[in-house]
Amino acid sequence: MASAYQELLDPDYLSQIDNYLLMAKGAVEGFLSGMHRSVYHGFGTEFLQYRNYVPGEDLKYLDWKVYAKRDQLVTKVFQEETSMNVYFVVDASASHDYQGERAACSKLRYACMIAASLAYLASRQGDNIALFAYQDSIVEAIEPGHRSGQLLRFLQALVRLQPAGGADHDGLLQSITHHMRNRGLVVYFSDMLEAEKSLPRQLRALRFRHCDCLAIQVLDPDERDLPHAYPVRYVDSETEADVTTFAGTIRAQYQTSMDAFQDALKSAFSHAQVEYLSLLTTDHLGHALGKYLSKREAIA
Amino acid sequence: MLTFANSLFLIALAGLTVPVILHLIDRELAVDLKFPSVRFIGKARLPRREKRRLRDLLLLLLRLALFASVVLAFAQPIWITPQASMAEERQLRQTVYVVDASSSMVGDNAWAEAVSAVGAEISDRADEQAGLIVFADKILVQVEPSNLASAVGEVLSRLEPTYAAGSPALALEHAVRLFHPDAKSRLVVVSDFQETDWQTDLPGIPRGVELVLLPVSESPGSNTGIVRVNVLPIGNNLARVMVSVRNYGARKAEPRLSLSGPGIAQEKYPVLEGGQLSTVSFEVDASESRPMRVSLPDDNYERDNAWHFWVSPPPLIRVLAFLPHLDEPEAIQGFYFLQTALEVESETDWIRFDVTAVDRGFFHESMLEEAEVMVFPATGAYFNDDQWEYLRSFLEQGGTALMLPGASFPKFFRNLQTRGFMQSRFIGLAGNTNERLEPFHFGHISPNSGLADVFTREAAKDLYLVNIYRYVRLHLNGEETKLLAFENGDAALLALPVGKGNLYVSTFAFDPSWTDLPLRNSFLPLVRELVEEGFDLDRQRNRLYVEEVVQLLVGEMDRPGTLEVEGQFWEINVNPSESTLARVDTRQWLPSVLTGEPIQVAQASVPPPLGATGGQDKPLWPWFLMIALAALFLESLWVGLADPVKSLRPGKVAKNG
Repeated sequence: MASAYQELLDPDYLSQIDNYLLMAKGAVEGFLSGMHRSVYHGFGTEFLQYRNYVPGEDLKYLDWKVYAKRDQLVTKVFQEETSMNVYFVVDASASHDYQGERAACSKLRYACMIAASLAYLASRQGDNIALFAYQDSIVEAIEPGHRSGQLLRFLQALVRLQPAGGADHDGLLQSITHHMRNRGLVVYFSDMLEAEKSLPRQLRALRFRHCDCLAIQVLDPDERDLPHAYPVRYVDSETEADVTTFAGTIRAQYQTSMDAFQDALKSAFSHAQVEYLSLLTTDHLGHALGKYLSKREAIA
Repeated sequence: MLTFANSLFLIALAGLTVPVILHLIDRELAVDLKFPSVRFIGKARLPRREKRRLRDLLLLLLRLALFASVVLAFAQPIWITPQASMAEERQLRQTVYVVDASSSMVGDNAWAEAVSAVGAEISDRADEQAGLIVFADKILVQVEPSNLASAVGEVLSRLEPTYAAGSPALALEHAVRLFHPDAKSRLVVVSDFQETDWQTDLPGIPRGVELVLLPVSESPGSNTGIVRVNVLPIGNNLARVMVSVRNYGARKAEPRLSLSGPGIAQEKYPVLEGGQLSTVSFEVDASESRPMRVSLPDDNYERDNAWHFWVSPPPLIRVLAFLPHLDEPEAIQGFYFLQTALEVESETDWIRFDVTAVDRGFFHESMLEEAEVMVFPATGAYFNDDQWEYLRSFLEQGGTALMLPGASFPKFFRNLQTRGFMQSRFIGLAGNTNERLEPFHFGHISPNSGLADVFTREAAKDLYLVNIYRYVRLHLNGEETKLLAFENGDAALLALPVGKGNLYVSTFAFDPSWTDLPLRNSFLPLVRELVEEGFDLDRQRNRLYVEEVVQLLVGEMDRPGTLEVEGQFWEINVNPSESTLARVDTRQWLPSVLTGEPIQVAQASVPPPLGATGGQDKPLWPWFLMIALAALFLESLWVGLADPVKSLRPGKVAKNG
């Protein structure tokens, strides 16, 4: 059973589904069904559905009437009543177009798959969802809402995203800050390249708007180990700067630099009290969903 | 031993250095790749291939093997087995002399030159075995190679040229077979290499045989010869002697042409330009048969300077007609017209026919020798299987037959088709009554037939006015010749060659219910020309060449002259085909024909030996071709699997780079 749901969250599998709604539904339901042994019940008081009781669960959620009638132990699941704004911020700069040999999809596609899944999950729980995608400027903006069609609008905006240009992190965060009037959660997707100093500081500023933040870094495996076994002229996707080299010669040095960059980023986010998650495009989506639920539960 | 047929191709092996140099200086080309960030990517020196990968060295070797195999295949390597060199060590050497003894070798002292040349060769090669073949129209003498080389010279000195034309193909074939398989073989051909003898299908000389051509009488000078003599009656007991004389040389000649015979001596001096053929006529008394001779003065080739002939009518041509009698009495009427036309005698035409009519039941094998011409008016429909075979046998031996349809024409024409005499298909009858208002007419005469010469202008008008009321329609799809055709293109008279003879088939009968042709002036010349068309009048007149006399065993005559045997007059002369002075090219053309080697401009008169020895030659180029194909396959496989650029997913390279 466990392997089945792991498979459902595999990017290789999910990236083959063009429809984001189907993909997100499959990922989320698969993920939740794999969590039936956990103590997750939702955060509201409105009844949503029953599910089989698993030993170890809190007995306060057992429906004794059902047990009396059918001699079957079931647990009640509730839907949250008080909504929260969940802001999804997606970096769609040109560097997210990269797809290495081992990855099933590009970095942007991977980020969008996670965003879609989380948005579906949030929408299912009654939260308001919002989307801001940016490159040199904002290219998609959907205000928070939970009315019917909000999720579809959200997903359609994801579909329209095409990686291009640079990434103006400062401008984006300044622009969206005034949208955040209520308490909420910002889920931020980017490869965060060359922004290990400024980005944690800027995301920390969101806390002053009563918004928690989950920063998800999306990288391709090639960016971690530079696996190319032949001479390559590397051309920077955003600046067009190029370096011709043989990866076998510089791989160790590159990996050291990359590790230092990752450590610096992790340290800076920790210092800024921003939740940080680094994902490779080969990682299954369960990491992000689990992290999100954990964060969401903490806020609730 | 390894040798190459096209050794010039080996120069291309120098091209092997190109991939080696490229390999030594080659650096792997960098692949463009769009990458998220080049911040941590430092520069590095690109590695050289041979230092980095052993597989590149193997790939280089594979490519060198491919290139070398292709070049070697084009160079056509040949492996000569050691057997040959063993023969060489044993010094087994054989020379076979092929000497031309055709009639032309008598001219310009050619024969003496040939004997002398062979003698000189033999004395120069006393340690070799020598063999001999002397040929004319057939092989006259054959001596197998032996150590008694002097015997060859002795045999040759006792011979002299025949009167026959030369046929070297058979002699060359036999000469090659005389060599021992292990011997170092040498074939010496001695001839005047006259065009008429050597421009024929010649056999190829094996590669291991050294070929030497020794031309004699290379510049024969001039020759004037008599080609033919015809005698035609001109009335009043006179005859015209038409002498065809040709100047074979390049320069103008004015020879004295003498006519002599019992009581007759005349001379003329025709002017002949170089290569010109001219006809000179004499008038002589023809009241009685007499032998005569025309002659030219002596020149380089004497044998064509005299022609012997008879001034006399040729023998009667015997015609046998097989009549259907009771089966088709109307066909008899048509035959009588035919008989009358053939038996007409004229002062100006010596050809006479003796027509005998017998019942068709007498057509038997024993009758085949009794006539030169056979006529079958409506009889063909009643032949049995044996009689059809008799007819075929008669025709194949050179006979002439004329067949006419009768009442049973469908059966007759179907029999002709099913028995294989013609390919044409019987369709049906065109016109069915002699009261037809618009009869059919002839519309076309084959320009290649004798009829076209006879029916010209006024004579042709009468022929085209002939009315044909009905005829049998045929669908022609074979090789039959339409001698005469109707206006609509349908065949009227067909010529069907069978063996040496000719079968003429008319699609209409010669009786008045089919046509009014027998009542026309055209009938007589049409019938006579038709019968004479396929007839060998020279044979009828007993005109032979010297070499044919032996075959026919006529008297003791083996020299040109005239002869009377049992009332028949024979004329024996020399074949004029040996008179020409034209020679084939023995420096380039003939060696290339005999050896199959391409003509080389700088080739000497005696071509070099094509193979050093007489061993077995094994061409190796197919092996090299197979090696090249295998190398190409492996190279393609290797590159497809190992090329780093191709190892990238193409879609990803395109997307990112």
